[in-house]
Amino acid sequence: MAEVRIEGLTKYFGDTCAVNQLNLVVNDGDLVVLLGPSGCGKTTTMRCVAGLERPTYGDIYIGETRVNDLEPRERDVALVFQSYALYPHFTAFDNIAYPLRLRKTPKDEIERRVRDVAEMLGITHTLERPPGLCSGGEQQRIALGRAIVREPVVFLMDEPLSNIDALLRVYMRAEIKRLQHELGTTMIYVTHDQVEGMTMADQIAVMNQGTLQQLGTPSEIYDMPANNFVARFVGSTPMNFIPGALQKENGKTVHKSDQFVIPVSAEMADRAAELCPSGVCTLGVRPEEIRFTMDDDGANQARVFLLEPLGSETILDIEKEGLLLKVKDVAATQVREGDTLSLSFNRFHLFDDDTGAAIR
Amino acid sequence: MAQTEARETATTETVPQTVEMAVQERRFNLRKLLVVIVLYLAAFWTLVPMYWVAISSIKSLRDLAHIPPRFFPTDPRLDAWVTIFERRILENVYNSLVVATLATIICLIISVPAAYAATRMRLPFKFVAIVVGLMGLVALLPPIASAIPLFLLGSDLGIIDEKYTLIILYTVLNTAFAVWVLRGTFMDVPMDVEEAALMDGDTRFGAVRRILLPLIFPSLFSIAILLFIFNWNEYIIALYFVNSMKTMTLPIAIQAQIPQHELDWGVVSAAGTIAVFPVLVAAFTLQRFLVRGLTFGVASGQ
Repeated sequence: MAEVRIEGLTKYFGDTCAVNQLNLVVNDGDLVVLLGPSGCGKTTTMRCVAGLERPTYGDIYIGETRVNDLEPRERDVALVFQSYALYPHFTAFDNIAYPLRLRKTPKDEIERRVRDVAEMLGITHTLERPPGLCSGGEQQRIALGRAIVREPVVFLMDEPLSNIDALLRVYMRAEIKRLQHELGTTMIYVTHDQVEGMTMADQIAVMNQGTLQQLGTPSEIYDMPANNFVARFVGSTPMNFIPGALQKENGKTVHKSDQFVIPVSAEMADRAAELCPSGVCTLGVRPEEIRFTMDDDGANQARVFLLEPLGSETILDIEKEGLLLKVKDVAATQVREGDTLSLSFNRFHLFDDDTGAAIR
Repeated sequence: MAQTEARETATTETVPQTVEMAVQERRFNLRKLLVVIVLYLAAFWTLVPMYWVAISSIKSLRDLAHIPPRFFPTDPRLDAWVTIFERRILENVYNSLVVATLATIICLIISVPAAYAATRMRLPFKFVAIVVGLMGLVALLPPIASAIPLFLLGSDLGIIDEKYTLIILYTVLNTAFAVWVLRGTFMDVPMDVEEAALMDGDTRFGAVRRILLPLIFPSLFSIAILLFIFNWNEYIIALYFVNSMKTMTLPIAIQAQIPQHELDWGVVSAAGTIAVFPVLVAAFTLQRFLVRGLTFGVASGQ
């Protein structure tokens, strides 16, 4: 058990900067998800912690030890690969036993620990088979078993669920989270799937183009995105963005765009005046934060052009003058395609167009 | 063969449910038949000369000289075999075995780490290509072109007519080829698997020994057999570097059976038969190992 501290991590591959000045502290026993699109540097960061890559600059600490110059085997860190990377010429048992054998663990203890782990993961029946004869889910568990059996101080997971089918993934992510809670081991989990990040993480670190965009709990990331990248990336129905500018109208500040005029609270207006003097900013609003009424004389009218029923809720695709909005209708109102709705915007964010940063 | 065919005809009669399927099946069988015919022709093409050499070694002089040639010896005798054993052919076999085996092993000991570095150390492809190209240059020259300067070098160093000289030369000539083929083999094994071993607590050397090499063993074995056959058959270099019975390899010994005046085809054929034998054994072993099943299924999900 240990915390992981990353200080000023920078990694270049040739001239390409994969990770730039990353600072991150993973508390002991926490599950931190590195979330970002492919090529954002999350996997490189994790490989630096694993010891498979050497940082160009910066330091990595596991517990109190600076590990920069330690070989992977000296770090006591386990890594589950996206491809599982099982040893095809060993049986599942030998795969799981391999780290223990390297540590010269006594034979009967290996036997006991491998069986325990296999039981915990429900793969006892596969132990005598080579991984090639196991299903994807079983291979996944064997890879997990190989990581768990040696009781490392830190778990690293590199998109471990991206190769199994969607249904199984939902179960496996809960299972990994449960395992992590039970074992109480620090875990760094890399994924590009924001749902995985939201459901599993104690803390999410959103990365883009090698830099850390925001670190926070899932609800902080969702409710208070630090910039428009985070806002765009997180949320299974993406946030709506309305470009425009802040203006004074009748002594009150409004966000005026080609399509809508949206009143802005006095507090927010004050912050905006300070942080974004030009007033040019994009308004971001989550699909569930747009309220609508069916009357056709209210402000901010728009037309429904498509319904996307999801069973428990319906997504309304609303269009106005070239701008598309997605609105979540949880209450199952009888909206039909072609209806005109009046929209009001409950909670929204403003993002400075120059920097992309949230105004708050 | 006849049985299989019978079984196939049986299936053709029972299985087809529609006319189209039956037509398809027949077409499929026709194709199979063609393939079989071509394979038999190819086998005939390659096996007949070997058979010819083998029977020539036990033919009587009369049979050997008979026109039209006789496919079956009428009066088989072992005179030729007695002669070549009297001429101590087994010593030549021993020399060839020692030279070919050691040159193969040393070549692999050098090329496995070289190929590993070329694939795993993130060296630029250009660099690898240049280094291996330079190594391969000697091997690409016509053997006779490199044999003469090598002979001059060897005689200056005073290492002509030594088995170890042949071993060194064969190793040098084959290394580039071996590195290049092994490079491809190493690239077939995903980096992940080796990295997993490092993460599990192995050293780099341990990961290569316990994970990488067992995974590529079939290919490694095939390459070893190929190298062995190259070394076993090598003639031109040996021609320059062999001066006595102490170093004489089999190809040179066979050549030596052809004297200036009277040519005993039986003796030459017997020597030739001996030379073919280990290659045949190698080919049959190779066949079993050429199945490259093991590295498949390393990647996930399948």
